[in-house]
Amino acid sequence: MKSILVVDDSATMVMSVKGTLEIGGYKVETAADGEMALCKLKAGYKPDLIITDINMPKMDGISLIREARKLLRFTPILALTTESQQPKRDEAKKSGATGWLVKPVGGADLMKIVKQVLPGI
Amino acid sequence: MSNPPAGAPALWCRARASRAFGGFTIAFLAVFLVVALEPLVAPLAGGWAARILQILGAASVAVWVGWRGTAGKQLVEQEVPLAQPSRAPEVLQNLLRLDDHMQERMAETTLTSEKYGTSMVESLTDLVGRSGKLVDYLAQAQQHSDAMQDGIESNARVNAEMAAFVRALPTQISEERNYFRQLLGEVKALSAIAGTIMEISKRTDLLALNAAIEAARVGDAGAGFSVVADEMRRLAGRTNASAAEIEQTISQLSQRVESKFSGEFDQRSHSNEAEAERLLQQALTIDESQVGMRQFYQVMMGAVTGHNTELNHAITELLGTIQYQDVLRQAIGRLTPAMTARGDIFLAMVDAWESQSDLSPLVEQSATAVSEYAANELMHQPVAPSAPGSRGSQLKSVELF
Repeated sequence: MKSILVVDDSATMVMSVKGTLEIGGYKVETAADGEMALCKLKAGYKPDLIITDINMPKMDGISLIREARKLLRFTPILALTTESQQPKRDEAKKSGATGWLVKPVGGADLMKIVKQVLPGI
Repeated sequence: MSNPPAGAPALWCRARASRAFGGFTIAFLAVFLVVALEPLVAPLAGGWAARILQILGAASVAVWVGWRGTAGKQLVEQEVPLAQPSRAPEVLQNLLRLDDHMQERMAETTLTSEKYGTSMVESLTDLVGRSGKLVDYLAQAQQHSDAMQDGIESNARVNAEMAAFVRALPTQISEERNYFRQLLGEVKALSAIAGTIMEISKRTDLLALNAAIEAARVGDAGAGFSVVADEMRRLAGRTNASAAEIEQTISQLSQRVESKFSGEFDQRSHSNEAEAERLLQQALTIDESQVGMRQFYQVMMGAVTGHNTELNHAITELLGTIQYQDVLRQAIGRLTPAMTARGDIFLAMVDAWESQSDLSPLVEQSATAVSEYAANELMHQPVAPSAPGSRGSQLKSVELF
């Protein structure tokens, strides 16, 4: 079973994304901010996919993407955020993000994207 | 008298009008009292009344002048910041623009909240409906299972009968084997009899040889030949007896075999065939029942799986809709600092009025608040790829790099 790390400071978002992915057959780990997520990664946790918010306390999503990319070179990282404009997308892409999703993302759409970047359940 | 500042000096105009109106009203009343009332009271009170009226008129003028100099002065002092050339209108206009932005965003947020709230209620209603259908289907499955339970018990009885039948078969086979073993013994006995006959035959040959020898001597002693002949007759008797014994044995054997096969064995065989046929039919019935049961469970599993897939789909869509709570939370989160900035600017304006300070910094501050809020909102502009041409349609809600 493939594992996905979901990072968001909103408990509602975590519940939404985690629930959707678990129904889809994935194992889900969560973190409330970039710092907590990075701690898990540095402790040896190697998820098959990271889905992270951008605006978070302690460490924002762009910084997390940048740091996570140093540890996990080929792991896909998706940004899931309310921010929609191009400059931020470009910044995330430059930091090593695999894709950009604007909230809210429907459950079916989310599963489709996850299967696209993470083929084979 | 100062000129109104550029912009929209409505307050300044109102203050000016109020002050002019008060002064002219008092002056008018004083003149009215002096001019209009003097003819009325003069015949009654003489010249002193007219003098009183003149005094009153003069007093009124004095009061007006005094008011113009004291109360009026106070009013003028209060109006000083408003009357001075001020940038307050610019600040207010910026704050009004900020209000417009916030109101527009709040209106959008309210509409979107309603849309997602309605969507969630619809999803939940759909979920309840689908769950109800699944429960109904499972209730039907329960009824079918009860019916199948009876079939299973019947199948168990048939299986028990088949087991008893099969269990009895070794005993029957053993008995039949014993019969055949006995028959084999009797056949062996026949073989022994055959040996006896062979021996007799050999002796007959020997006697025939002896008879031939004695015959050569016929002339001398014919008595010896008669002895041989007697012996041959006895042998013939024994041969006949053996043949009769063989015939009888074979006859008995035949009868036993016949009785065995045509009687008990046939009967048992027919009984077994009938029982086997009955059990076979029941086994076929069981098989059909099992096929039906398997089909039923396949259909049921298909239906349950289908319902479960639909339920999962509905739940994931509902979970996706819940994400709007975070979108709303962040929209409110962006409103809060803008409202705080707006409040701070108002307070600063009051301070500036009281201290008659320059409002230019507040103009900049309010303009910054407007542009920051607008820029922040632009960064979080909703993306709706499903509605081409709408706001933000040039940006995709999902983009893989």
